[in-house]
Amino acid sequence: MRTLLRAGVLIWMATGLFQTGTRVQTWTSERALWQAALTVSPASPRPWLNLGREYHLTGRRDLAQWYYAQGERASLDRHPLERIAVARAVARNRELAR
Amino acid sequence: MRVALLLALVAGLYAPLGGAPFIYEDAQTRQAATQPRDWVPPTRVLALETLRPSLVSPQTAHLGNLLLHLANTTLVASLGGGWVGLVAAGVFALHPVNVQAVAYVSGRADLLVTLGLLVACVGAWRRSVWLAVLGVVIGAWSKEIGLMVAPIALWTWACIHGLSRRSWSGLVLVAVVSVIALWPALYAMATVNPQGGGSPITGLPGAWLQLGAVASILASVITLEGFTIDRDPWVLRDGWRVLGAGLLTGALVTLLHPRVSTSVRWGIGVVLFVLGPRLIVQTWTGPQEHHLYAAMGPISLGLGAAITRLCALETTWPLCATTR
Repeated sequence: MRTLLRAGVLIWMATGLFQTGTRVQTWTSERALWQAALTVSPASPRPWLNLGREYHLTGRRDLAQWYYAQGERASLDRHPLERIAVARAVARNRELAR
Repeated sequence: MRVALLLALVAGLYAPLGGAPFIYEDAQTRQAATQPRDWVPPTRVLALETLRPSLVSPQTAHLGNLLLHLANTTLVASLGGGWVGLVAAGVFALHPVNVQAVAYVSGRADLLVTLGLLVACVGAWRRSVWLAVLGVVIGAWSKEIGLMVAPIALWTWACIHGLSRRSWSGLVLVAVVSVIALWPALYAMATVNPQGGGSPITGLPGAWLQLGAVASILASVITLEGFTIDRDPWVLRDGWRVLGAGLLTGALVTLLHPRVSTSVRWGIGVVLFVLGPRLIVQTWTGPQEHHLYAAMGPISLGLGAAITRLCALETTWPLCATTR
């Protein structure tokens, strides 16, 4: 039993080390970071909006619009204040990329 | 020597950040350091001053964060001592949940708070009042949550060495004076509005929401999955909030149990001091991974003690072996 537990700890540590290496790579670019966030929480508006902003800033406006729309859709069942915040963020991002 | 090898491994693992740009709110954080203002909150002085745009490029900012992480790792190793310290430092330094605090330049404040917290704990453990006070000052000047370093230092001292009734009276007096002196900052923290980043849901419903977010991050420490820059408490199911309530109840019951060991009581107390205020001062986005960085110190020490015991490397931990 003890040997099994020790093996489990070793596997846990190796997994953690691998995950850390992967996470560090994710943090080297804004697009990779928000893409990873979208995989974890697609129901959250923030990753959609920030990916949209990233595409907007790099000139891919059509793609950016699609991401903004998804972000606004994700915010529909949220608190009214958050829906307002999302709408403001979209407007600000569009202004920023103009 | 073993700790030096660990630090080299950590530096190698984080090397790709050397070419990383500023990300997300980093630019705003740096801009905030140069904006003219009538009054700089004392709880932000260190974090802002060390990120002045004239001083840092993305490379130096990432290097600064990495050096702070290495310093914190060394302090965790020192608090654990021997194999416990080495394994705990390894867990702390290499855990994926800590990547955000190190890789995100805006997470600098959490690295500094943790530095203050660990210095204060080492000072309290070694009965060095000056070291403890230095830690308290570093923590309180880095971020609002750093105000908790003072009670944590006292908690550490009380857990390990015990305090006389007279000392307790003096400390209560110091705490009351501190609260009065820091009241504007504390009031501003507690009443932050949604436009300023506060949550539109406050009070008990807000605490219920935040409990789920805290439980979700704590679970990722063990499950090693679900790491993200956007920990959104609104998308979590009620099961997470029930788990959070269970964890909080379990922590409080363990804390009050008369036969619990010094190290367990100390560790649970520190985690509650670090994460507890998040249930009262509720933010829109909930606690993020870099907010857990300070709590990862005692959590890593607990995991380090458990792992070394399981592997029969060491059965004692200097912190719990210290007698009153």
